Amino acid sequence: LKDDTSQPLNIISNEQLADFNNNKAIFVGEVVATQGSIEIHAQRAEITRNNNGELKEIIAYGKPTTYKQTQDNGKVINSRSSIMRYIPADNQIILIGKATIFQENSHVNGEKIVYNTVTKQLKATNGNAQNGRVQSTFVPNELKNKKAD
Amino acid sequence: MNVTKRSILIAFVLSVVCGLLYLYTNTFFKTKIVIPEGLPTFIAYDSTISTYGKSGKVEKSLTSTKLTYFNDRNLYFFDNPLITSYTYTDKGMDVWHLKGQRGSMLLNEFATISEDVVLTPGFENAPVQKATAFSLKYDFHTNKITSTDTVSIFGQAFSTEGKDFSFDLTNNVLEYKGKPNAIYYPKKK
Repeated sequence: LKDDTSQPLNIISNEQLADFNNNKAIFVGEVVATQGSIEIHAQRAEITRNNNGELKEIIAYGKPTTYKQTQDNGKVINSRSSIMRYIPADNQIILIGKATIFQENSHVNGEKIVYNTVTKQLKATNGNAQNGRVQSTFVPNELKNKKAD
Repeated sequence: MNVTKRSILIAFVLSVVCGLLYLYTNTFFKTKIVIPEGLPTFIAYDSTISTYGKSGKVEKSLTSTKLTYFNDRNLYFFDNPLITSYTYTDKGMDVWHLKGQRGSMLLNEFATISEDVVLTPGFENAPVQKATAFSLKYDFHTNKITSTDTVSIFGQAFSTEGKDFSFDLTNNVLEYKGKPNAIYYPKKK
């Protein structure tokens, strides 16, 4: 949702290590991070904050790492990948490694997907896999909605 | 023998007798002061203990309203203890205050503090602004504060609660191994 990034970020895990000299916190084991409608599941997550203590970036690692967010239109967008970087200031999610982003029946696969949670713009690349080609599937009614937008 | 000589002689004889008497009592009647088991060696009120490093700088101080010391076990017990730890870094000095209602200390080893324990910094821009717990243990050798109880910490725009807590005062690294729950608050608009 639009105001997700202005909500508190809540993280539970098995263990946590905070290195205050480097403004970094590492969460290990069954990591669940929630912020508004955003929900991230991972095996390990690293949080970096700036010197004012504001959240700068989350890097989540998992088999896979999953991400879920409800959009303003009520639809839920999901993603799966080996690594996920969430940069709140840029409203950006970067999925790396067997990345899939899907909403209802439409999905985009690639080695790397960059998604903007506000503009909903998405850029997928495949590097060397599948000759660098990306696979996307849009179910027809999504296509109609796309034309209407 | 005139009076003077006689008095000098008497004085000399008496001194010798006193010396012998002192030696006699000291060898055969030496009374060793034995403190009955279980009784404290001493009790002090509103006192402060400080320890210093080789450089002569204070490293730890412990203030309490009542201090009870047992010499046979090298053990102190405190009421209303306040431990202050001084860690000298290249940026300056990090001071931490650890206070509670009860405490005990094994000299030069560790101290435990319990009941309404609060850890607060005595320097600016500290990473942790407050930590609360039922009990905390401060190990003087590792300069770490640990607890198996639930510990809540509050810092700049974040808070965390969990068990199996440890905080290394030397390099500002904190760890939770018991299901911590961290909350990061967004910047106030």
